[in-house]
Amino acid sequence: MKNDGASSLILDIQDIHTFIGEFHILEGVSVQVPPGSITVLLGRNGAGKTTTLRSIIGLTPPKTGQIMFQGQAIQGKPAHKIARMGIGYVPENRIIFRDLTVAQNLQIAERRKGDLDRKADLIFGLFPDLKRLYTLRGGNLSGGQQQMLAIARALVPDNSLLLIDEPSEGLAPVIIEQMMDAIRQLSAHTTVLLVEQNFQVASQLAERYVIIEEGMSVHAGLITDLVQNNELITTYLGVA
Amino acid sequence: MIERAVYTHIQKIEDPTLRNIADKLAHLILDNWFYALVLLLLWRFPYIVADLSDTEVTPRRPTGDSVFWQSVMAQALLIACLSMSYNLLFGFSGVISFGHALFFGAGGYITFLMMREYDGAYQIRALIVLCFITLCLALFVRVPIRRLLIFLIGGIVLILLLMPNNDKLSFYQAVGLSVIGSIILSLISGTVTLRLRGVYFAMFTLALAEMFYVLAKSGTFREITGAEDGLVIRDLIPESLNPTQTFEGHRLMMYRITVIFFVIVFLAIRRYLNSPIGRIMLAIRENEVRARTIGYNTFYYKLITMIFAGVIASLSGVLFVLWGTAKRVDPSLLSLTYTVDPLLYTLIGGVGTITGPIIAALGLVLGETYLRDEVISIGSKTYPIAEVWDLFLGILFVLVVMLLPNGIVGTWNKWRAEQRIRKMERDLQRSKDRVA
Amino acid sequence: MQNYLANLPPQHRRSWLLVVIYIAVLLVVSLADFGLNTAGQTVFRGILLGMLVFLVASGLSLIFGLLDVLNFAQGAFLLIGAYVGNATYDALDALSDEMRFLAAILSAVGTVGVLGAIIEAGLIRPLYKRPIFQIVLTFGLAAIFLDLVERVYGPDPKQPIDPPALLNGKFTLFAQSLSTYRLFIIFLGLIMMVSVYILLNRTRIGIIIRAGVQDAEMVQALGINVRRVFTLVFVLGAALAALGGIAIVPYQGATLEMGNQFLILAIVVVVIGGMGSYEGTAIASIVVGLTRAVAEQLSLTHFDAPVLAETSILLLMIAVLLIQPSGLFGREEA
Repeated sequence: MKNDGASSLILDIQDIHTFIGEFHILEGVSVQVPPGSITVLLGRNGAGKTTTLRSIIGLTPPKTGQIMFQGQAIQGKPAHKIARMGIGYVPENRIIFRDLTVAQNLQIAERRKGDLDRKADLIFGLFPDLKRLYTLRGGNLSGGQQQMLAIARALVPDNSLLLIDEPSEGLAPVIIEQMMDAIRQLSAHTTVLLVEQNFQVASQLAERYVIIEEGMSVHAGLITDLVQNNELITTYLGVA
Repeated sequence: MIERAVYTHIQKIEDPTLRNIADKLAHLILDNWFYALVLLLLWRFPYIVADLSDTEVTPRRPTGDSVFWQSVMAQALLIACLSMSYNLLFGFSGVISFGHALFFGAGGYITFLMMREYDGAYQIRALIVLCFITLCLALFVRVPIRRLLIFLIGGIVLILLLMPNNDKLSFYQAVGLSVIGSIILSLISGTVTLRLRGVYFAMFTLALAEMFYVLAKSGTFREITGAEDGLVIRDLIPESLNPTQTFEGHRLMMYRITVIFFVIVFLAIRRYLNSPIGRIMLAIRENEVRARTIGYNTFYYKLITMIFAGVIASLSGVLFVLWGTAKRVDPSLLSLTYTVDPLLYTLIGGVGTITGPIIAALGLVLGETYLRDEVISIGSKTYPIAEVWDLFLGILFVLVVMLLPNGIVGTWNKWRAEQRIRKMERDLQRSKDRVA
Repeated sequence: MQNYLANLPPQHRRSWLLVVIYIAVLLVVSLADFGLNTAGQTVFRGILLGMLVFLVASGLSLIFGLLDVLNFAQGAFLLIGAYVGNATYDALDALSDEMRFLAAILSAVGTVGVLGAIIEAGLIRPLYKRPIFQIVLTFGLAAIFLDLVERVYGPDPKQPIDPPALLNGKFTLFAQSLSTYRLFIIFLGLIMMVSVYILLNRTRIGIIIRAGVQDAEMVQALGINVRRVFTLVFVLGAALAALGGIAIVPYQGATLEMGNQFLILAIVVVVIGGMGSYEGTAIASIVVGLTRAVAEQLSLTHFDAPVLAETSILLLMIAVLLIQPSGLFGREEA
């Protein structure tokens, strides 16, 4: 899928190669994300999906290739600067700060004074439980609550792009439902780029997809097309 | 090139057995000629200095350049041995010890304390302790009976050999006891801390060494240890090993013994690293988690290396004491200096190389003595080198850590390896061009 | 308080119990063995020592928690603080006692603070990919600084300076006449304990530090420049150690060994208390201080060999390592 001016895309990853130490993890990944959509990165374990997200946020910058965010090249910039441009990162294993309270976890995400106050309605509207758990230590929350907190944290500042890595991992189906609901409501305010192993979740949540296989982006398109294409599903995703 | 010529000639020998022998001989000579040359230089060193300075190698009284430099070189070689043993831990096993001086000083202290304090009753006491330990091992730790028996019998044999039931403990027996002592020390510190993260081990060794240093220096034990003045050993050194007796050639022989010790340590370490245990140690250094996943008991291998390094350090320490002019076991041997210096030499020479620490230790120790009387002038102020040497060493250390992490020898090895790769690429390109 | 107790993980609960029991035992043994007066003096000495060690150990713990660097130069920072402060005091003999003392403190903390910033930015930060070298570097720096101090100030110990009259009153505690300066040290330690606690728990920067201790990368991904915080923490740790150094000078003077002595104690504190745990450091400092004081008194009374107190600290460390390797209040290993 070619696209000349990146003006219509909020995120345009052009053929990035990322190394971790000596290992050539991403060998040519290209992803186009239109604004307001939910796009999912699919692929087998170890294909390079998480590394792609990390390359975007700048934790493992790409060696070659370009990443355009809202028309600006962001590859190679320090991670905190990239985040400040309006990208929120929700890593796999939901890295919330266990020793901090829920309140402090949210406060630390503020980029401008008063962010949390402004977003309080939105956040507690989506995740009412967090209000109840406000003074509790992060480490004492359940897995599902931690996931909610991790996503809520990314909503505190004004982020136009959310990178969410494997949100359903290790969660009970009921919680997954709640979380999918929240993400759907989120996408009204911001663009979401998702990594999700669980094809059920992915297909119900996302509008577009990109398949990553062995460090390369091999296929992209609309989810509605993918769901009907059994050949693609079995080739690249192993099982339906 | 010479190598290629020699090997091609050897291949032309008809008789297979002869060819085999010639091949092995050629390998032996060609791979090790450099080391042989160095050994020759070391061996002849007293005579070389004697010729250069027109002094005697074995004069009536211990004066003169040759005699002086024998002492300096011997001590330098022993520090090089200490550095090699440190590198064994740090460079090859990834174990950071900040208490290595403990073994260095313990060698001297245990040996001569034993000689001074020994009486026949020790033998019985040792046998009782041995039986007690064996009993504990049998009851609380699941050790197979056969190993337990070997341990017990081996222990009894050692005790009978090293601890006579009269009051006369010979020097050699005392050295043997200090080796046992250092093994026990390694076992204790290893078992407590090797299972934990590297930093904990480093901190523990620092605290342990510091504790013994304070104990050795403290006036409370003055009667036993001599406190800050050190343990007087003039009367305990066997005549034949006393370097002050230059005229009877004792110093020269002591020098040769030191050189031989150095060579043995070098060969032993090389052999150890090339052995299966050594290879596993390298794997552990690269990626300990992976080594453990493959199934290696990393704790066990690190412990073995610790014991080996500790023993080398102790023996070096004993010889070092013999060379001291004051004929004392000084508590400074347990001080941080003898941990920091090997660390410095290992880093400067090249972590994880065998020759690196040797070159750095020899170069810097000899250099310090050689430049001792010189002065360095910056602007209008002059500084005697002796005073600023430590500062210089420190700055060198910081520079090496920041800029040359592989040390001198390490960087040289890397450069050579890169040259070889480039040469291979060129050859490959050339043959490609020829085909085209 | 409620919140703290409610949020306490189970291992920490057990650790609190162990600590309380241990201190109770120490107190009982002291009372039984030395009698009320000497016991009281010993406990006082122990708390004093604990406060001083805390100043060095808190820096060690914070720096390790956030930067993952074990700063073996903490002892050297204490040493430099002591010597520079002492020299400033001597040099400014025209000023009043109070001014001299204040100047000594400021010069000690300032010098070491700047030094710390230079070291962190120039030497430690470039090595963040090689943690082993970072440790080795701080160790080497400690040796270099010790040597420098000896060169510049000479090998002889420095006499204690007179604390300003304000702090030099006398009071009697447990039948012993003591200078109020000792109370000042304890007071100073407490103020620092509380200040750093407030910093860590009530300010934004403190929350960032604690979050960074757990996962510095994540903090970076939240848009915060953690590197600058690293430098800040390093400087803070170094400054605290220097403060400890200059605080000791009117009490015990300055010697070349003090750096190392306090480093060892600080190391034991951090191991016992748990790396990166602020509460752990505070509690463990008191524990170590008391242990040292009681052990010294015991070995003095029974063996006339106060040096045996050294062994007590090591034994304490071994005991804790065997019971709870990550320290009494350490973070749970992920």
